[in-house]
Amino acid sequence: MNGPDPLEGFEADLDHHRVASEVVEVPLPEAVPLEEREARYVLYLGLLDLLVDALEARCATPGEAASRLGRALRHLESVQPVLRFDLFEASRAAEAQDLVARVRDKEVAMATRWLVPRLEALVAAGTRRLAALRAALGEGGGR
Amino acid sequence: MTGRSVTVLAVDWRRLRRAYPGVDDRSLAEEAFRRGLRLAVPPSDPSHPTDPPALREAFVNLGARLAVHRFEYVTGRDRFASAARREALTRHEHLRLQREVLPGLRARARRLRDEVRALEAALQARGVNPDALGPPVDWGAVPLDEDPSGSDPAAEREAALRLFRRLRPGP
Repeated sequence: MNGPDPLEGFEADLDHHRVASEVVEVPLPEAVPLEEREARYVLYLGLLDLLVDALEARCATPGEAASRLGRALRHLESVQPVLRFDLFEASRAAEAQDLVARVRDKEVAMATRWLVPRLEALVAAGTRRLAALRAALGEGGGR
Repeated sequence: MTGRSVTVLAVDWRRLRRAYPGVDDRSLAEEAFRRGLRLAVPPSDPSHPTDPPALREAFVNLGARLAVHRFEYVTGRDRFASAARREALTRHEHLRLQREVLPGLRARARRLRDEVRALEAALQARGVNPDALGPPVDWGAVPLDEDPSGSDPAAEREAALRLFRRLRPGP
């Protein structure tokens, strides 16, 4: 290869658990009236196509470029199911956890702001009533 | 160019910049979008391509789809983790209330209620109206016999998650 491999680190960076989460903003041309997710997909199509051009330009023979590209493609195919499953599972779990936490938050708030103060007030009223009853009955109030 | 932009993982953009040293970001972005719009069509035959054009097409198409998924996973990692943390926090607080705070208060109130009722009955037996001592305690103001501490919060959580899974369609 004539110069550094344009796909150097490509396979390692496909590890979605380890790749850095740093992002960069790429300016969107006027002629791209797409939503952000669509625009990202289109940008990645072009980005990868440009990388293939760079790869072919640096390889001595078409076979060398095809070999390198084939290796990268096989890696893509191998990580695809894991990444898709992890993304789906993590998104689903986060939604479920958010929902459970919201419901439980309300229950906790209900208990701490309403139930506990009322139970404490009931215990205080019961304690006063008990003392008054014991006094009326002439008990020593030892309990 | 407009003021709009799209975010991608820095490692991916840096790789492109390394492959085209000397070309500025704006030109790279324009060229990438120009090509991307041309390529944004379904792949003809994505299974095991061997000839160079098909190999390129398969690589670019699959690579772009996975790049979007990976972007969403990577940029969602904090959200996934914070959802798990928040769920754990509320679970612990809920457990603490249900196991350490409420049962004790309820049991104490029930003991008081039983004692008070017994002494009120004893007073009435002596011919004295307990209401003369002041207004009676409203024991029905709070449900005292409802004590969920015997339930298993982990089982309740699992049941709730199973319900959410059923309600939500698959990918």
